[in-house]
Amino acid sequence: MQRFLVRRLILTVVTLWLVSVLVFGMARISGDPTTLLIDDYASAQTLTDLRSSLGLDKSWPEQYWIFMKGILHGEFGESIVQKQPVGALIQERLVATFHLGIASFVFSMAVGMPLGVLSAIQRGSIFDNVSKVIALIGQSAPPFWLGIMLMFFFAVKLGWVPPSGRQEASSIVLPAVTLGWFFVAANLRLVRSAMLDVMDSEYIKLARAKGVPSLQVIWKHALRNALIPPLTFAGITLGALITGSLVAETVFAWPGLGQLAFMAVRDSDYPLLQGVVITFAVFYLATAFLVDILYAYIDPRIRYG
Amino acid sequence: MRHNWFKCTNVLVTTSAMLILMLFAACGGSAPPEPVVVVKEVVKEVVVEKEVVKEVVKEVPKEVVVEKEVVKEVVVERVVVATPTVASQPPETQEPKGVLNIAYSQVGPPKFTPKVAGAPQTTINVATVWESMWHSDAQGETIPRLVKEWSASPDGMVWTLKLQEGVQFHKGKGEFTAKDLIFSMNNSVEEGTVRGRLVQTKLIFFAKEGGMRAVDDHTVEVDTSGSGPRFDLTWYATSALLTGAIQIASKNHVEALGQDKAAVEDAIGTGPWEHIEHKTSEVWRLAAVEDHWRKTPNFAELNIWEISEESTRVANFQAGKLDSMHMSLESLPVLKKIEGVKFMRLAGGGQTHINIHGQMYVDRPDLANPRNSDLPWISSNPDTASDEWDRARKVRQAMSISLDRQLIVDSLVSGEGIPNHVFGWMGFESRLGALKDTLVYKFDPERARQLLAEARYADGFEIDMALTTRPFPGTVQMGEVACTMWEEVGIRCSQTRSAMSAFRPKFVDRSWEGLNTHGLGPLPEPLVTYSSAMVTKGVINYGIEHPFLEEKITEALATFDPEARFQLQREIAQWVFDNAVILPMYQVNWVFPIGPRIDLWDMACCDARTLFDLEHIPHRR
Repeated sequence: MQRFLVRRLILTVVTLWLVSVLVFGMARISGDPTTLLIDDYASAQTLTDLRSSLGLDKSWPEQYWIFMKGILHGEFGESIVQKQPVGALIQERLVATFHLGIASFVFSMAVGMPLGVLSAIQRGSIFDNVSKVIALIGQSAPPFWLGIMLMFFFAVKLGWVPPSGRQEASSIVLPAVTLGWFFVAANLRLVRSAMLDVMDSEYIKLARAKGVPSLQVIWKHALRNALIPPLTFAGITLGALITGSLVAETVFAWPGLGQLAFMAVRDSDYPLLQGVVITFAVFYLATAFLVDILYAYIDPRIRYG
Repeated sequence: MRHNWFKCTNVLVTTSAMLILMLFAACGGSAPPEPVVVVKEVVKEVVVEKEVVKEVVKEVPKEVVVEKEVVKEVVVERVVVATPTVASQPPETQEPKGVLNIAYSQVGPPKFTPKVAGAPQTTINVATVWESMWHSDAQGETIPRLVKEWSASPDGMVWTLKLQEGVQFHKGKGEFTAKDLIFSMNNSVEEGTVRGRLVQTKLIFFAKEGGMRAVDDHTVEVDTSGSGPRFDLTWYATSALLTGAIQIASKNHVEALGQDKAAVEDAIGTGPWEHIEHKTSEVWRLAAVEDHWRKTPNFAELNIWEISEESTRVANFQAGKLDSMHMSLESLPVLKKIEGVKFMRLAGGGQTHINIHGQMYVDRPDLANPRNSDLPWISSNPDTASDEWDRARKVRQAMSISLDRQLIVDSLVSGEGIPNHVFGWMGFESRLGALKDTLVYKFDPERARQLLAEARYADGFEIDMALTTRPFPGTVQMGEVACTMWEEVGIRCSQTRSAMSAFRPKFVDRSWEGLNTHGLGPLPEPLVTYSSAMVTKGVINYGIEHPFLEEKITEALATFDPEARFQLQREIAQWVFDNAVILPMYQVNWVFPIGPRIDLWDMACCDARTLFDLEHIPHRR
């Protein structure tokens, strides 16, 4: 177990380093921020001065070294456009992203799991078909389209919730549903298939034969054993929901890290983009690491090297 | 198997039904659209500018005196006296009430000092918290703001600016005086600033042999001696003229808080709106300044939201959460259906054009790419009377008259604009005089084919088109449509999309040998763009350098008398038109939807992305 943990830790660090190289290189390929910061009529000298003040006149290896040194000191540098420390900007928005991530996680679990169970026990019924439709929409509809449709229906037509922003408590409903729907579908399918497997097993048949009430068989005996795959998937779901909020946050003007990432890309704000991507990567890898550990504890059948 | 297929069909049918229902409901298909009367109001503003010649008695100290003696000398000065306007509305005495909500696609982080100003903050800033030295009215004329009166010496070198008295900075930061103006100008050119027109601002306000000085608390003298050509000061300090706008900040406040903190923490200005809080990429909250020296807003609070997605802005507007917003013209049909909506339309939001590159007719050994006269639109001979020039001119004229500009306006900007034929003159058409009716490229593809045949390009030719992005509607699509229209006369385009940031180096080094799409906002005078992008000294270039332009533009820059200067500009316009060295395309309107809670107001100026004069927005009755 200890060897496994060390190996996973090393792998996580290597992955993080690769992410840093990738984001550093891709940010620079995407365009030069200085040309976005200056007016068309600015002189060549203004451009040169600006490049120099931002450290962009240095070679890429030099810039990368400065970037890595900063990371090791827990600093991401200063945003080119916002002129504020990237760390502070990330910190400011972390709460909003967590808020949205957790809400969509709760939504995806609270809807996906019961639907999965009911779908399995009423296999072939209309309910099962409706559940499949929900799953199909969730997995095939692009979030930006889904978000806009939900917005026009529930905010504009019905006026039940605000169309965007984070000013009212109910503002979170639409972005959470948009973000979480994909995972509702994933959870539904996963729970359904796990439940179907378990429901066919001998011990369930035995329980039924012994006259255990149906509800008890389903919710106590079957579900408990069917939960291992969905629970481990839940960890990844949480990580993905928190780090995958760019589209939902942009569509719903939700002031979180996803929106910050969008702004960084739009403005070619290298330090900000690097900071946000590294933060997302750290969070995702940490979640995956924890899930691996949990998995080992939950399922003793699994053996690690 | 059959059973499974049936189940699958069930799923598909139910899915489709749900999707159709959602689409139907979301797109407004649940009920037949009710006929909506769209109220259009045409806002006309007439500003009367008084220009008086008055005799001023000046006390001029004699240069060499033995005894202290004052010699009185009578000089004639041209003084512009104007009255603060946006005048057509009656003064309102009611208390500010209610909250005004406006959304832009981009508000950006706080930039609360002149040094850090940049787009789009500068325009939003000077429309709310700050005021600039001058403002512009709807006709593009300069009107007073913090500078009450201004006058220039007869040679145009020394300007005297009389400042408004009794104007207070927000939050008790004291009265606006000459020291604040001088501080703000200094701050705007400090090292590290990336303001547009930095070079010109330095040249004019901080001339080698002159500079700025406070004569008294409310008088500033600007000596432009040594700055080369005479400049009109107002060109580069009027809020309407976007890149020239300089917000006047409180010297005491910035110095007390420190540059870095003042730039992001608190906004102190003299405008009708006072800063409350700024949450980057979310909202900027402002409050009405009670008893403002110029106009107290009708609304008590103003929220400026940043909503980057167009459809999200539209949804908020439809849901009544916004009173106005930055909109794409593509949203016009949807917005027109909203009950009670009005539209604020101002002509002259932007002017688009297609640059024809490679016309470098001034011999310059420093250019990496010499003139390539193998290209059909470039002459080997700069002499406009030569045969070579005539052939190349015919090619360019053919390119121009084979474009159906009216069709482009109707299709690309929903008719919200007009075809443009004279490059750089948007807003100054009346000063073209008789040329206004003669400088028109009449759409005539048959004649275009004939011109190409005369230029020995009957089979057409190939040309590269860089579809560069600008913040004016349809800029990129305009290039695509132009290429399609040119196909009809045999000109074939190779199109590539390019962000302006990637294309800009070619603007600077003059290396591009093709076309590119471009656009301009309102300008103080056509000369500004001529002198910035059609001469050898320009940092960037729109594809043409020619001895005629060098001479005329330099002469115009050195001409202080406005009428004489405009005469020279008309000559340049005629030459540019006759030789078709650039392809003006269309002018696009500014269109903002106005929600049912508010009414139209006299918006004087300025930018396709920003609403101005928000203090005048009335409650809808």
